[in-house]
Amino acid sequence: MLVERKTHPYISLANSYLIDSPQPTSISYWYNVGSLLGLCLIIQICSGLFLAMHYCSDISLAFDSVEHIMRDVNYGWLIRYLHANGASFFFTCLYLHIGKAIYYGSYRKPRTLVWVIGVIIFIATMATGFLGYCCCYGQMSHWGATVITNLFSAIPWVGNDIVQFLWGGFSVSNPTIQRFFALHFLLPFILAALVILHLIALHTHGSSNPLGITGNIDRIAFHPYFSFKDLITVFIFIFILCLFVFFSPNTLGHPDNYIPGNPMVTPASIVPEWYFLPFYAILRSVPNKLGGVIAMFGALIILLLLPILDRSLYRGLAFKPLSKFFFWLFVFNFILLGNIGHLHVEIPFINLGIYCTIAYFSYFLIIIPLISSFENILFYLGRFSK
Amino acid sequence: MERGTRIIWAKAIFWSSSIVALGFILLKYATPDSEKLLKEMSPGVRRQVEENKELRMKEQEELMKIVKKTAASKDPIWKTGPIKSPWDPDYKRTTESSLVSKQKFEKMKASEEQKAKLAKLKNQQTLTEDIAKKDKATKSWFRFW
Amino acid sequence: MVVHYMGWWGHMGSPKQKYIAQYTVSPYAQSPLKGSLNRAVFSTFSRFKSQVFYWAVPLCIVYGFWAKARDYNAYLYTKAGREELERVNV
Repeated sequence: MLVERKTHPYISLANSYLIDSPQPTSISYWYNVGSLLGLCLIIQICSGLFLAMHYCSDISLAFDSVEHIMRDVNYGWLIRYLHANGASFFFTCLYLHIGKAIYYGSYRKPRTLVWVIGVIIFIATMATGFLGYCCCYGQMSHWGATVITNLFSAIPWVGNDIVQFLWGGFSVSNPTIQRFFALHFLLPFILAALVILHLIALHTHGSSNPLGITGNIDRIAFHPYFSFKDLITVFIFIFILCLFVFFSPNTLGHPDNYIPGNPMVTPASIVPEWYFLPFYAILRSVPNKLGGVIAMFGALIILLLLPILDRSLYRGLAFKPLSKFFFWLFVFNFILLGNIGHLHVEIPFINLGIYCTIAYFSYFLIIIPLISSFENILFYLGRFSK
Repeated sequence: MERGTRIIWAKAIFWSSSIVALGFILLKYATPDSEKLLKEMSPGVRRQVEENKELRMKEQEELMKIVKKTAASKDPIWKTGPIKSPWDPDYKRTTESSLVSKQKFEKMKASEEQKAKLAKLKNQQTLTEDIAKKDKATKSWFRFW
Repeated sequence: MVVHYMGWWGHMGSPKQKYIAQYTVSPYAQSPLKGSLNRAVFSTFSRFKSQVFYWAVPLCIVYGFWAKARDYNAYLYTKAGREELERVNV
């Protein structure tokens, strides 16, 4: 007779994902980031939900309801700081997760669907994060609202109509923030739904592994081996998150709401909302209105082409010295793009931004196909020379 | 697609759409409307809301002006007129850097009030003068009583 | 063929014994952290050593470009670089 956990309609679901699920033995710690992202999403949705219970997106109330959360609501400060810092951690994990997928070739056949859903999740998360700033009403939200409006106005033909709609025809009681808030509230639920699809798509073939060969040779149960392995990173994650939330809550964010209180002692933040900077740099490196938007979204969409652009016969970069070298070049180029994003538009940086953008795109369009084909030839030569 | 896979996807789509539906329901019922939130606020914050109401409207007006201009222009989308990007190294968060300076706005409001008061006073003065003039005009130099 | 279970005279014997299970307590269970300190240093180092080239060189390349741009920018906005800035900045 089968045990209850395998027969019960719902528990069997948990069983197939978290208990009996067979995982390759060789998966490394980078494979823990996925579970961390799940945790991030749960933290963000829960804290966001509690924030929304004490927030109103009305223009006259948006600013002071944040004040209300910080002062009147029990542990409101904790919820808000969790939400604000959680966003940074979410994106950290997201970038690591994508980096891991590129490095280990997780996007390749037969997991293309997982990758496609993942890229959609990435884009949706960026949209959610950006809309989040527009909710807490300050300088930042004004800037965000302006950029979003400009973004829509760049769309040919229908752009102006969308702008009109977004601003409710520019009437006095304009509903823009309310719309941004509603979207910021709803997108995470869509995100959660997409995550479920991501997981289902993943479970048709299971996780890939660092070796790039089939994992079917050697698998062990998720529980207890990977449940406890995941817990290690979960604890480290929570530890670091708590360090920020309790000891330096404004380092990663923008404490707009301190302005009226005490303008002299606004805590310094490293680089607020650093996670958009690479794409912001790409946006800025194209001096055309529509062109910039296309470049920025192209930088995201191009990820979808990765399964086609990678011509290699083998999955993953673990045994490919050349690919590995260029992968890290790409990573540091991306970080440099992020750095350029928060600099003045001044002489060498303009050109540097353009070069970095070109490097970003050429990594996908030129380097990956070329190097992977070249390495295929090397593999063949190596085989025949034996 | 196999039958099993089809069932899985059908289930997945059902559950994901119910999650999104849950989001809609929560947005509708778990978030307070402005009146409820005002009631919930402590008196200090509520007073702030009342005080800042006009400032917020003014800010929104300014924002709309800027947005209209930038949306219509051919500049790249990151050029946001007088609003500084928070990523700008010169970006500072002070009362002066916000869209409408609270101090200036209050000063302006106060001066407007004062002007209105003065105008009213002046009006009154001219009124009294007028009455006096009228009195003078109607009254001739010759009087019986 | 006749199988000589007992072996012939002077050749006492039997087929090779099979299917003996031996149980011991796993060395991991006896000493779960065995060698972990050693590995924490030397294994980690050898892993680091085998990968460092792949990321350190790209890092140096990208940092080189960045440092050059940063210094050039700093130079342009000094008194000395003022004229060059006017010439370059169009």
